Amino acid sequence: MSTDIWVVVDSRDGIASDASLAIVTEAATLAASCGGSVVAVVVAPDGAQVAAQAGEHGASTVRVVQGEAYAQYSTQAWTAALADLVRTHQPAAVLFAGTAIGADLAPRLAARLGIGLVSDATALSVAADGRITFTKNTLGGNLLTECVVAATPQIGTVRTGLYKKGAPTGVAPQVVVEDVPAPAPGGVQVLSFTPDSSDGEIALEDADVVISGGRAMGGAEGFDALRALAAAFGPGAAVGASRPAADAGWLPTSQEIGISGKTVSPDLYVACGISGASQHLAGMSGSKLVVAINSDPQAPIFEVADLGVVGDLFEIVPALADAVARHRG
Amino acid sequence: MKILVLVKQVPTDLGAVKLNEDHTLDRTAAGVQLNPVDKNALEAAVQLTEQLGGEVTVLSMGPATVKATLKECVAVGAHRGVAITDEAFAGSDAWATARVLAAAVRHLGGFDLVLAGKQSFDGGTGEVPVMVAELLDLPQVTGVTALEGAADALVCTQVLDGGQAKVQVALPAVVTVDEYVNTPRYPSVKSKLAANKASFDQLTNAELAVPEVGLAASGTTILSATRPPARQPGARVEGDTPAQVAENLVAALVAAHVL
Ligand SMILES: Cc1cc2nc3c(=O)[nH]c(=O)nc-3n(C[C@H](O)[C@H](O)[C@H](O)COP(=O)(O)OP(=O)(O)OC[C@H]3O[C@@H](n4cnc5c(N)ncnc54)[C@H](O)[C@@H]3O)c2cc1C
Ligand SMILES: Cc1cc2nc3c(=O)[nH]c(=O)nc-3n(C[C@H](O)[C@H](O)[C@H](O)COP(=O)(O)OP(=O)(O)OC[C@H]3O[C@@H](n4cnc5c(N)ncnc54)[C@H](O)[C@@H]3O)c2cc1C
Repeated sequence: MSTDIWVVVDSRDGIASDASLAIVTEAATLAASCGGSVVAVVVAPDGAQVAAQAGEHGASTVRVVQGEAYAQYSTQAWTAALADLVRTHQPAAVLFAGTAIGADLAPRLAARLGIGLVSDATALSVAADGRITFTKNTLGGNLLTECVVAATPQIGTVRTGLYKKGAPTGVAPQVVVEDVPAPAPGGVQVLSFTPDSSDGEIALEDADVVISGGRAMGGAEGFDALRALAAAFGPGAAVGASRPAADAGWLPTSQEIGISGKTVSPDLYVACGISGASQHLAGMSGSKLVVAINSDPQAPIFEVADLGVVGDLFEIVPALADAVARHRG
Repeated sequence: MKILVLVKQVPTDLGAVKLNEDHTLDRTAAGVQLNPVDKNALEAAVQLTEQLGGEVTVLSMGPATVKATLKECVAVGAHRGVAITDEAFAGSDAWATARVLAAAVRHLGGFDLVLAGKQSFDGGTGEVPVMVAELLDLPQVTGVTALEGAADALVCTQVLDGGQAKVQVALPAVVTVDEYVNTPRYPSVKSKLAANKASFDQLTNAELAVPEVGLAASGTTILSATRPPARQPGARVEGDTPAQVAENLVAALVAAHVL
């Protein structure tokens, strides 16, 4: 067995996902403390560009599986390729970002290898015996556990948004193009892929500041005030929603935060007109600083908020946008 | 179409789940309910059989109380329920659970489709159905938000990172659904009464013969488990006018180094 820490980097159209690059950067920190090195694994139609990005953010080696057979994500093709590489190279750990693809792929790989998997880790560390260990903050924040996979490698998915990709190192990685058997047809055929019309906005999971609105926004127009506040904070801010607001179509469902939506862990989370139901808290309890703006002084969100404002969000939010804009000049 | 739905019984109140000395969980004070998103999986199954004909079986591994959960399922359209209960399964993680469920699916046999929730309300790993798919060597589609069925294939919509994919999966397959896939129906008084009379098949490891089960078969090891310290209630930010509140809030954000 090697001491290498692998990170599976997913990509689309030659662009690595920020969520997986963030894990590469975090793994590089871990590797430095345990004497291993970070290997990014890229499965893509053409992996060169993605490999370079993985190197820029901390991978010393990149193993690439490429070819037209990998033009669209396929659980079966990816699992076969990764299982083949793991069996050949025997890494110490295989880490995934807990994105939709990570959640689809990691358990399938673990089961193919006949071992367990830790999902949704909120911190990574190295134990005295050199094993990667996972910390999980679970049961809606009621339980903190440290766990490992009983066999090797340590396979885990890491909650998105907790780590940020590092500044580019300018170091080119060693790229190894791997030869794996061609994938068998998998039974799942991609009919179409419709990209989100993000208009260049930052993804919710990658944002440093998340301004989110709940049922109290009252309609799609209500969110204009939140967009103005996000704009005042600058390009690192994104707008999210509680379930009722996303359900009503006031914001796309891709912006829903909570147990059935996205998990975010920004530096600053501003909850506007959100009561603080446990299903919502599950998606934002990792935020560093929580601000709540709510007209009901008894709202449960105030129990988790570091800073609370009791008041009408339609008065407070625009005033806050002005004050933030003035402060940032 | 013969459809199997995997349903899990979960606590209603996660805050009332207690931690035992040996890192296992004591759920006795936490109430029980059918895992919310499993209602959507069941509804999807019932709708498919209403369109295409067929039968819906619900399968649950858990303590003797899972019968109540199976009843709830029969009241909203399941035709048959199977409980897998065996003390030897205590302490199972996702991998150990998946091996028992996969053995049960094989034992029952002949399903065109296995439906499950995207994740449970308590453990919430989302691993179980995916591992079941691998153990049965079936294709999988996870986190489906819309579903159209035909006799030999399903067309599923999935929210992926950066967009929405529409995929077609050949049957048999394992499909997990999101809460957006449909709105589950409510039981009627009549269907509840009928469900009360339902009887369920029961499986133990005597029938399934899974070689390793429970804690010993688990793929993960818990090294420590603690209750995190309760978050201290934060400070109130006040002011006479919204503008003043905003100024005070900005000052607090600057002091906390987030602005
Ligand atoms: C299985 C399941 C999964 C779920 N998943 C999620 C999930 O992923 N994410 C999620 O968010 N929810 C989820 N929910 C729903 C959750 O239980 C709550 O219903 C939801 O979070 C409440 O949303 P809200 O806070 O926007 O609305 P409400 O609870 O209605 O709260 C609105 C708040 O706005 C305040 N308010 C009203 N007017 C004003 C004003 N003018 N100014 C300031 N404040 C005002 C009110 O005081 C109130 O506190 C889920 C539920 C279930 C059963
Ligand atoms: C706080 C906490 C954290 C945990 N973390 C991990 C971990 O990282 N890795 C790990 O291996 N285990 C973990 N476990 C253990 C694991 O959750 C349980 O052992 C459970 O059996 C695995 O399922 P799940 O709840 O994660 O289900 P999920 O995989 O989230 O469930 C998805 C779907 O699978 C079906 N399903 C799940 N369980 C059953 C069942 N018993 N019967 C029928 N259908 C079912 C349902 O359709 C459900 O909607 C954790 C448990 C807790 C309480």
